[in-house]
Amino acid sequence: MNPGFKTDRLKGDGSGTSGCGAADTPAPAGRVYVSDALPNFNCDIQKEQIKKYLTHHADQVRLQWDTHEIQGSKFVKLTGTIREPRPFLLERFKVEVARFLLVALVVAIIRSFYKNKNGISRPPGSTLFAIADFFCSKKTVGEVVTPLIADMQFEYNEALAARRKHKAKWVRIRCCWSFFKALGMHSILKTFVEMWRKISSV
Amino acid sequence: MKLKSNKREEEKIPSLSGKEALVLDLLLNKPSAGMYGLELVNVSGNRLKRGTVYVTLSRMEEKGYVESWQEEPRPDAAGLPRKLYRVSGYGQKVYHAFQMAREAWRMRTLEAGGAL
Repeated sequence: MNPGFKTDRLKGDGSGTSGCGAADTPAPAGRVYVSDALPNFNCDIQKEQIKKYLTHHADQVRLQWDTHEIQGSKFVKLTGTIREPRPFLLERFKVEVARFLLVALVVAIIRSFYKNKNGISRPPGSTLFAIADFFCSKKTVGEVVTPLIADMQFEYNEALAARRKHKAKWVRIRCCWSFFKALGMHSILKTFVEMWRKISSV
Repeated sequence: MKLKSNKREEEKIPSLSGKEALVLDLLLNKPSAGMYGLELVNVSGNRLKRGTVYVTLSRMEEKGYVESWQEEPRPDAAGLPRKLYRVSGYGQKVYHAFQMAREAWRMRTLEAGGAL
């Protein structure tokens, strides 16, 4: 059977034949999903369903049909492609805005959760210290982590004393990176990033 | 058993990597006051990295090339006291031996190059 896409609608009585009189048209452009799982209709009983299906998917489905007989009743097998309509630019923009707002909302919730209500703040590097204390040995904490955080705190205080807030923030970020690098965690992080990239590219 | 292990320790030839030699070199320029990790990074001009300097220093301390002590906490300063490092006597000896070996190696290669 010559595979093709029949542009004609299925007749009401569902008496199509195998590719008979089918005008072959090229596959629709854009993102195309080939669907082998289109429903099979019983021509005798499901005429209304066939009509409804075709009406509903008029823009997206181009059909080729093939009738076959099972136990005396005719079935029509629909095969073809379902084309996902391309979203308009405005719709895409709306989706992006919605996504951004959602992320902003999540960040705001997290920040409000950790909001410092008493006005007392922990010194920089205390979280890193806690992480290291949990994962590393005392020797590593004493010989690697403590001097690293002590130096960072010194640099941070110097920056704050000079009223350079941005430098102070930068010192904290750099310290985080040094911390992960020092403990060999950067390799683990890299693995996760690679995994995330692979997952998102699929 | 203990005597045997001590003998083995004595027989061990001290090893010095390029980074360790650099750290010793930098510390020997400021022998009395001592230096802290970030200072070493800044002085080295990007040859030492922030993430690795502490690991290197810890390894060198284990080998006995450097010794460390805590900075005395100042009343006006906040945060943890910094850890300062200076070269030990053994570290100085190893460094000088390393330099002599390097010089000898260079002379030997120059001679070999001349002969060729």
